[in-house]
Amino acid sequence: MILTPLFRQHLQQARNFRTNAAVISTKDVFKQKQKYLTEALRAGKFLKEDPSEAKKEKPVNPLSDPGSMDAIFGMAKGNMANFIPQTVIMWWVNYFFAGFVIMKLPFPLTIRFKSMLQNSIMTSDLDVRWVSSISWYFVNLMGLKSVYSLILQDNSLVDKMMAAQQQQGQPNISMPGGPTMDKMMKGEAENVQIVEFRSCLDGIEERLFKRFEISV
Amino acid sequence: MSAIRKDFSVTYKANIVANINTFHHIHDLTSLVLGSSSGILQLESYHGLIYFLVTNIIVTLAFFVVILSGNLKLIPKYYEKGLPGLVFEGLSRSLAGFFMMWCLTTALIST
Repeated sequence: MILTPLFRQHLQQARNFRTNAAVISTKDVFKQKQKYLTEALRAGKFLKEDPSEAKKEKPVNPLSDPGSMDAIFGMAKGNMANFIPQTVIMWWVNYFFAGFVIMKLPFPLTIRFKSMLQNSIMTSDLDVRWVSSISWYFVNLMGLKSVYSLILQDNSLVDKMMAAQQQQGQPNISMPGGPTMDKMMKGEAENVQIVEFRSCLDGIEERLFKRFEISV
Repeated sequence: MSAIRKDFSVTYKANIVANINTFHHIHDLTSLVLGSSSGILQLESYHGLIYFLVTNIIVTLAFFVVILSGNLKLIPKYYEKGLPGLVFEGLSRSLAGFFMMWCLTTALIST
């Protein structure tokens, strides 16, 4: 069975219902929503195919499905785009600045770092605090993260979060032997069914008095 | 994830992420500035490390006093982390930036 993002949205709807049950105004509305979600999820209303039919099919190999192939290659490309430039820059720094001492670190290091930080400098007695370019590269690799987050910061973070939650392009690779969507929906239906209605307005007067320390 | 608490309030992931982002922003900025200052002061080895620890803890305390108005009970609710977790996150976040600016300014000034 192929999972489409629509299925995930219905599961998310049920989860949101459970989270926000306390702010539903009346018990009738709550019961109505609960009944609808439980029945729909249990009956497999949101599923593309009938779950009993889908069971007969063999689990599809994710590599044979062109949609999930694209998703897998997309992930692989994202990873490659991250580490290939790093490797290339590191090689370039190491090659181009070989044999130069570029800076003195403000803190002493043990002699073990010598071979790593004074790569290709042929002086055996030089203090480890004098380092070559590759260590400055490493320091930058770690430290520039905070500079990036300061420069590239934008205020629409919350919007981004919301967009990421509703993202359509998520790879939907169903692993053979993993939980199928109808099982997940049945489980969610049970979760929805056991939610007890406790309104956020229950005992609001006492809480209000308590908060503002008014004795009745 | 979001959960219903005793006081019936509901927390949302996006809000917590925004709160943590504020915390990170302050630590990013202060780590760079304090790293440069320790380089300008020509601090070396343990002095620089102690300077880092002390200033970072001062920054975190100032964050609690100014942003949270000293209300430390709100930390688990707004950050999904305890007080030690938040202090440790501040330290580990600013470590790399501090060391980078420390190395850079030390090297620039001493040459």
